[in-house]
Amino acid sequence: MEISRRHTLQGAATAALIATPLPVIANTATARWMGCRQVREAYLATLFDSTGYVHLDVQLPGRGHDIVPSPDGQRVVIMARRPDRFALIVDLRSGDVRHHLTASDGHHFYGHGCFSSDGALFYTSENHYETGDGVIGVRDTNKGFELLGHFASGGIGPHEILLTPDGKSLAIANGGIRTHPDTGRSKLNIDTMAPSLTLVDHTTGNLISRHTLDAEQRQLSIRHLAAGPNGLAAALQYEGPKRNRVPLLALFDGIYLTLAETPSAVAKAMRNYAGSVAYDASGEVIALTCPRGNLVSFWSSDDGTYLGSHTARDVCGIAPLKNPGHFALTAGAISLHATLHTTKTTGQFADTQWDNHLVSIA
Amino acid sequence: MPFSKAFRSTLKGGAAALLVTGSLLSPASAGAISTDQTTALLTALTDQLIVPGYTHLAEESSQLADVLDAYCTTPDTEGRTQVEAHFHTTMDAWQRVQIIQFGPIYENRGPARFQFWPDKRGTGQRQLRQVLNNQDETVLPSGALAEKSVALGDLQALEYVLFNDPDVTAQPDSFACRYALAIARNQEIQATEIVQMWTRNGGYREQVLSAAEGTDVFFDEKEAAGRFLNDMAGAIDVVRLQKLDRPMGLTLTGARPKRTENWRSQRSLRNIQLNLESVQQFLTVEDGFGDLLTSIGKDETATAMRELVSEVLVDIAAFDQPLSEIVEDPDTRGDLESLLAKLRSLQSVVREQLAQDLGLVPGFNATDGD
Repeated sequence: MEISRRHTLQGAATAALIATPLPVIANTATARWMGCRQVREAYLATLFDSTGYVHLDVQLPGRGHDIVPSPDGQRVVIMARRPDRFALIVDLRSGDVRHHLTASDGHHFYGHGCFSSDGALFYTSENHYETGDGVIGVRDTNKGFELLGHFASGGIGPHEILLTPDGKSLAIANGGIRTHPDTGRSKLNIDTMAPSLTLVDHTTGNLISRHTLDAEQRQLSIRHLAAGPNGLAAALQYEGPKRNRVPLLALFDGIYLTLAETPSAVAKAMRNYAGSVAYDASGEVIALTCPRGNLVSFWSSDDGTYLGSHTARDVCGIAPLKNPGHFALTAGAISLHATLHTTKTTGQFADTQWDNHLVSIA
Repeated sequence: MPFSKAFRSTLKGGAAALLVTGSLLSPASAGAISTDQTTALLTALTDQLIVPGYTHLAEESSQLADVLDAYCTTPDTEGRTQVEAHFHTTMDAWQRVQIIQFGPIYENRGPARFQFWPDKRGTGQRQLRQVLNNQDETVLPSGALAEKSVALGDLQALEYVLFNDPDVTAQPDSFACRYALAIARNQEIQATEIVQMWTRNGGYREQVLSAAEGTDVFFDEKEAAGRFLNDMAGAIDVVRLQKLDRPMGLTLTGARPKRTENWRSQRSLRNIQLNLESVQQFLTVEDGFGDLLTSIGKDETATAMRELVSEVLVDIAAFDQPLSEIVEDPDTRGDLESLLAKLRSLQSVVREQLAQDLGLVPGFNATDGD
């Protein structure tokens, strides 16, 4: 395996001619994405391009969740889906797994992480499950991702984390839902949940600020985040009575966390569950995916105005394309490109169920 | 704010201008089935199967308790026959509703309060033996078992007390017999509570029947219909994996007869038959899944399911040994393999074809919390 892979590297320029997908990352002009998927019994993290061509499949020990590219674009971290405990660091040039991380004793990962802007540190959202405290693990990427320590996330159930655009703080979506590995994914505190968006100093771990929705919206779990030029967008899931139709997009301008005004027909179509959120390249359009509603919806990042939507079965993974207003998506077994006005299938993947998230790979 | 400055962007208007007109919101699901049709399905299954099923369980356990009450005082042969007959009709009633995997059954410690099985680590049986050996009177007062381990007050415990050693309940006013009576009363209490939780004002029946408008527990009628579909697929799953595969083992030498359900009262196959009859009723009851399929021109799926269920039921009826013997019998064990294959086919028709026809296929990304 090792030999044959190096052998094919000799002829990297001919990679496009090789029929079977191999762990050779050719320098192509087409845009590329990476997402986790299930193929029959196997869990994979897959790098593919806008023609649907698969460049790399990384075998995972369990179902994966988010994939985090390093700032230099040389490698990615593939995070386990909660409540699993693995993370793999993969070299994008060779396709090799460089490190295999395991969450420290008493902790499991929540599926997301992010790098510091210089790439020296890697942060992971984690559950210290005996206390239920949400924590952020800090790892030294120059020392094999050795764990340096944990700091508080400022809430229960931290999920997606990202570096704010100024590179100085971490934005943390504390979903508010307590779980314990003994009871799998069962939610233990729906009656008292208190989700928040916290900003934490990424060097000291000090809490800078905590932002919440109004008290009557405390069952809107804040789970996924995207960063744009004017602020952050948060994708929500609703844990309250199912008769209620609620907004699932919140915008954060650095001071206020506000729900996007959502037409009731749209709220109904979204089925109280958003899975991923992304800004377009211009930062003016936010796209929100709702896999239960089989819906991708578009919103103005300026004031949260609803712009429109498309249906796509089991749509969830989303990442911006270079053109303003254009997005790449994964839905069921396909990949597609979408704007507010159009959708186009770009790839069909055999026996595939694409997972929640998709990231652009430079 | 530490980064609010960075958020001040000069981007205004510009690219957003070309995106102003939104596409029409198209319906999010396969459209052939009306809300009324789905509500008719929910009503049929709830009012013809679920509520009568739980009511029947409450009645049967009540009668079993009455019969036990008399038998404990005067343990004669005729009484014994009565007790066993009523144990079986009570267990029949439970096995018919065992298929239901949502709603009130999941409250108050869940389905295990009716049947804690399989008891993989033997913890339930250890607790049970302790109660019997110590003649632990604390299990006897009315309502006491509802507060104790589920394994002390469920139908498995009752089976053990009655069938493990029939002699222990055969003495007048014996501890074991009074304990059996306490279990039967506990079952009556638990089943009655389930019936009330379904039927009371604002209860679960109303949640199901008004699902189309959105309720506390159902987003819409499709979600509720999906629960019933899951019940059918889930019941077949339990029969295959827990009731057949697990006692069979991979090979003949791996067979474990005592892993068959209710081997002490020799009713393993009868349980399976009742489970699958419930699946069949979900299909064949008026306005059930079968009628719904027919009304949208999917007769093929309906027919395939009906035929498979009937075949499976015929196969089960054809066995003339208890399951605990069949798993170890090289001559008949092969028949279980073919039964398993048919169950797998049935399950894939339910999970794939039926779900697709009705637009109820759950998405891979639809799970909570990610």
